[in-house]
Amino acid sequence: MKPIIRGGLTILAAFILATVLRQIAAPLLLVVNVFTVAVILFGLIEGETQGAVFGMVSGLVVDSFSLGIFGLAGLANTVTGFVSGFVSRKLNVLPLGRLFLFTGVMGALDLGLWMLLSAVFFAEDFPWGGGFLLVQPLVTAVLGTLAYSIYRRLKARHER
Amino acid sequence: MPRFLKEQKKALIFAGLLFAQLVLVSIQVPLGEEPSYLEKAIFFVFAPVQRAVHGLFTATGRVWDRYVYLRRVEAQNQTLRDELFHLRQTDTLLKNALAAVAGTKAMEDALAFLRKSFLAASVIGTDASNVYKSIIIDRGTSDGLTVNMPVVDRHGNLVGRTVAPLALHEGTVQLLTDEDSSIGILSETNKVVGQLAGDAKRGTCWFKYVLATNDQLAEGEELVTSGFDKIFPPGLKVGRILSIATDSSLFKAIKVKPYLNFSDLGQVAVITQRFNGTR
Repeated sequence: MKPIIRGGLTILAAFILATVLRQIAAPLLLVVNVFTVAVILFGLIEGETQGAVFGMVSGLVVDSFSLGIFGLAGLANTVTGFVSGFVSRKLNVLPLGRLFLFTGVMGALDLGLWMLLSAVFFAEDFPWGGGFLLVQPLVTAVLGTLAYSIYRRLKARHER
Repeated sequence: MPRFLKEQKKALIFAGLLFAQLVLVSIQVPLGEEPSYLEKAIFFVFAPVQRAVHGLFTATGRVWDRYVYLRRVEAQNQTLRDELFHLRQTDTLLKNALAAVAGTKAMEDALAFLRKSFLAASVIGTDASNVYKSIIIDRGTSDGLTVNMPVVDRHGNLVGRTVAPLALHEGTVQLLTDEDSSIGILSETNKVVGQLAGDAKRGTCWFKYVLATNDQLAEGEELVTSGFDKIFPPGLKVGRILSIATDSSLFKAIKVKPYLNFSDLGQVAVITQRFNGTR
């Protein structure tokens, strides 16, 4: 399967998952950012260029369903996708502990960038949700590690 | 291709992507509130997916309700019968009151007008970056939706107004808690006039432009729409005053707790006709 089709299907899956979460309880989206997890993993698996393109497209999808500035999440996700691919190529982040740390740091980077762009450049407000927003990188780390472990197992089974 | 050139190519692509997005952000400045074609296109493509997921969820919920909670039906039936009885009483009283002030024809016209002015809608999604900013409903331009139509919840409390982007079967509603929202309001008791602005950080609102010297407002007082903005009809309930503070500025800092309840926002009604009767 070509990376472009893989990317498209991943965005669609992330969008459906985010919609399901929204149906269950909308405030959940404050701590569970499905798109960030997808961007980090896509960068890790496909490399920095594909990660950046995927980050841009997924960010623009998020922005289309928000009254905020169109391109804000796109910018943050582009950087996250690129850095995720770049770092994972330079360092071995695949052991479980390192993977957890890596996805957590990338999740914090994405959230930090989004908050910085929102507050400094575009004077936009962001919802703290009583501090729950800061739990997002930890949840990203848990979900990212889990998703990548499943992906690795499925890939190994497929190759056998 | 040598390794350093490959690295440079990647960096150039990355810089190009960032540049393209900065251009995209800059384009929005002259557009103002109007979304760009790209934003509209993405909304147009993905909104039906959201609608389908919502439909699937609703259908699953219905199956659950029908088969698992069937035992509750009898009790629910009784409650609904009681409610229907009371509603019929209210209906008769209202019809009598209307008939007392106008002829039968005028009364029927008035009722028909009321029936046509609402469009029931289901909430299929919330804002992707901040739940207090907007919601997505399952009504769009094909249902007659246009921008700036007031939206109320099932209790008749104000929720917000329709804004772009609007797809064929899906629409966006800017909530009154969005910081870019501005609604003309007045207090119930002393008719103090001002503007309601959202506070998307906390899901509350601010009652703005009330002079610091004005002491006609009290905590707990109800606020309704004034109709001065020509978008929202007068008299729609908005919320209650939470706190009033005065600092060195010209205006008071009045915090408002909106009636809008996020956990009870499954169904809304769009007011499709202006309060002066035309649209």
